[in-house]
Amino acid sequence: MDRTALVSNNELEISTQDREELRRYLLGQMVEADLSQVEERLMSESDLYAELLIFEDELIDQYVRGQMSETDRASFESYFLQSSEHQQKLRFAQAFSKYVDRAVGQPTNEFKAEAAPAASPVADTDYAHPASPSAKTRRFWSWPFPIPALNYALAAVVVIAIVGIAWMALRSSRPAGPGKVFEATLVPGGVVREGGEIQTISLAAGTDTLRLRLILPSEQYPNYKTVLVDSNGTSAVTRDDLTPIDTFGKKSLLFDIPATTLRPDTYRLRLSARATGAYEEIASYNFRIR
Amino acid sequence: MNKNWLLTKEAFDALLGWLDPNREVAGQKYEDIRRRLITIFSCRGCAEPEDLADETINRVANKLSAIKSSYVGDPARYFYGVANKVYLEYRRRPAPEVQPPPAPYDESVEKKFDCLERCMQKLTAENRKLVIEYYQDERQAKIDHRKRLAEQLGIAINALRIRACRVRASLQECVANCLHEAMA
Repeated sequence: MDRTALVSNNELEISTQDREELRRYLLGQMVEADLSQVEERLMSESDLYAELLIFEDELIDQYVRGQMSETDRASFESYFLQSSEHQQKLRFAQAFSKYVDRAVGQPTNEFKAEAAPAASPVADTDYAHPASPSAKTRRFWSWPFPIPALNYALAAVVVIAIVGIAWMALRSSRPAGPGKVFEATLVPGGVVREGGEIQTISLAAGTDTLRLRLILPSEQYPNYKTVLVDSNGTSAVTRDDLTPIDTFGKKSLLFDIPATTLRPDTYRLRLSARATGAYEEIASYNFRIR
Repeated sequence: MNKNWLLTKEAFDALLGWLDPNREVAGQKYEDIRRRLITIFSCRGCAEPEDLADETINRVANKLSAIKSSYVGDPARYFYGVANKVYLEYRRRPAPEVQPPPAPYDESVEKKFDCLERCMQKLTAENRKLVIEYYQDERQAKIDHRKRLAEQLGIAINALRIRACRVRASLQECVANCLHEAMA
């Protein structure tokens, strides 16, 4: 459906109460009478309808980034995602969120305000239009070089130096080993995502390592490989050449994940195995970090 | 559900005439009503929201000669009343199999990502920058960032939301077309 023409006015007059109603409407948390009222208004009030479309995007982004309460998340999955159109939007949002995450930190000089004067030919990392006085007064430093490439190179060197120093300081101040460990046991699903339940894990404050005990499928192999991917499909941690251990008569693997690599999100752990030769994916485990 | 109620050209013209005497304005109103019906059916979890919206419109068109002279008020509300009946009939049909939520990771995300990269390049540089700036960060940082962005653009935060939503919608449409072409 072409939604580009729908949000055509430049201002919305929407109250906080209306926004809350739209949230409840989209998540199926409304009684029938209220629902009819909202829908009648959606048919005739352009502002409310435009807000609904914006709010849908915002809700989906919250879900993708793991920023929803448990209750809203459950409503989102059981009600909002019943619609194939909403599922399509979610798939788009997953890819879009990944794109934005990758793009952030790559400064460009392409931006200018719609009604602003043309941007200065001298590159400026402030993306606000150059004539904006508020942007100027907020700036408390300036780039040393007039050529942006040199500025970016300088910024990169500074960042690398800071990260290096911080890493060395951290290494010397912390003992080796997993530190405070939080352990959870996961059972396998199939290779596709639909297999297996999604277990929610709440990491206690101060946890250094999440240790996952992965119960292995019945067919045994000498070597295993695990790849942890987040909801955007980005590989976070990979471990190779893992060997199984016995847990209450069942074979399992221990998979340690530094807590610093995890954020509230839904993760998929892809398990591959090999007898000889190449690894072949045999199962997956899904969990959610709250 | 009676799917035999087809919209003839005469019925469609009469429907447009009821919506507005100006045919161009009437066409816009028709499109607007149809989009809203699709959204409502979609929000109610219907599997075929577009079919149900078209069914609603067909029924209104077929009743038009009977109601045109007596109905008072916004035609959109009348469409909504008929949509409720269509929805009740839909509910009586055997429930379609509920699809599981999309996987946090699947191959289509990767394909979509390729298309997305292409579609981002089709945006104007200004809009490309805007959506990346608008949708980055999380929680409070995101709110603060958007306030700054609106300030820098010299527009209200709501106007910024509308612009970002519009660009995102055009991107989503572009990606859908790209995927469709890739599969053809």
